[in-house]
Amino acid sequence: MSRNRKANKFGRKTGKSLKGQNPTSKKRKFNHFGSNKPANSWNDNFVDLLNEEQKKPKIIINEYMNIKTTNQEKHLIKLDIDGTSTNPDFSTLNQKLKRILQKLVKQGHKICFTTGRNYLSALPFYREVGLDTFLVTYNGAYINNPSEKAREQVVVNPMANEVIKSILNEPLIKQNLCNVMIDKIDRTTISTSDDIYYQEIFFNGNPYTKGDI
Amino acid sequence: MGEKDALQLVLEFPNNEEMLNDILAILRSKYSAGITFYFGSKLKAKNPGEKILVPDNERAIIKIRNKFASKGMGAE
Repeated sequence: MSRNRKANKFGRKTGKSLKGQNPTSKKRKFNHFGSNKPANSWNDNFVDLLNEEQKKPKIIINEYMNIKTTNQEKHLIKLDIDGTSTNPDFSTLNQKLKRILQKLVKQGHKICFTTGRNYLSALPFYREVGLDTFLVTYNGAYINNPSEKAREQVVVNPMANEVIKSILNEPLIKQNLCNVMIDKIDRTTISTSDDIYYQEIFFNGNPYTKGDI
Repeated sequence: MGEKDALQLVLEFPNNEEMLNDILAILRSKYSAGITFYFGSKLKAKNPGEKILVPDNERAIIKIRNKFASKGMGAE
């Protein structure tokens, strides 16, 4: 079954809305923009496009998700960190993107980093932009709001220690494993390697324990 | 290793397709009720001493998290 899909101004595919696909969407406070575009593809034009869209009296901004927007509505913009918001070194935030995000925050939109990084490694990016929203880390296994206003934990989805031990004791894994890193629920990190990959993506200047698992 | 539960387990292997497929099959068949995992290349420095990272085709990474971990949950 083919749908007449075409890219809208934001580069997203749109098409005919599916009846009843997302019945709760109208109740949402924010419309959602997700992006996994690299940082250097973001530009001031995005803000202009967003403003242009909002000036229109009432439009369907994403028919596929059946979400409508008006000029009064604000957006929740979710974006990844590594390869999206960072420079090619994966350790510094793209400054052009930072300015754009701060501009969007001033306009009342909500920016949310959603990343597979651990909490302590993602926190400096959150602080650098000056966000007050929640921070999605460990790919959603740990979601909280680190801002001064609200520090309550929102979601914690850990893996049982027994499961970890069982996986590590699988003969095929044990035989071929080069390195292991474990982020514990108390935010401590244990790793057998400290090469540049682990330093930049996982440790990011935070303390870790190097040793055998 | 301690006794506390974990939020993330990262495993690094040599990039051997046959062996990795077997490992992924084990994870799927025995642990899929409790975990979800991501599989991809490790990153390495583009040139020695540089901080620019590029995919390392000699090493593979498996990142394992709780089954209910989802980036989309943040929006809910």
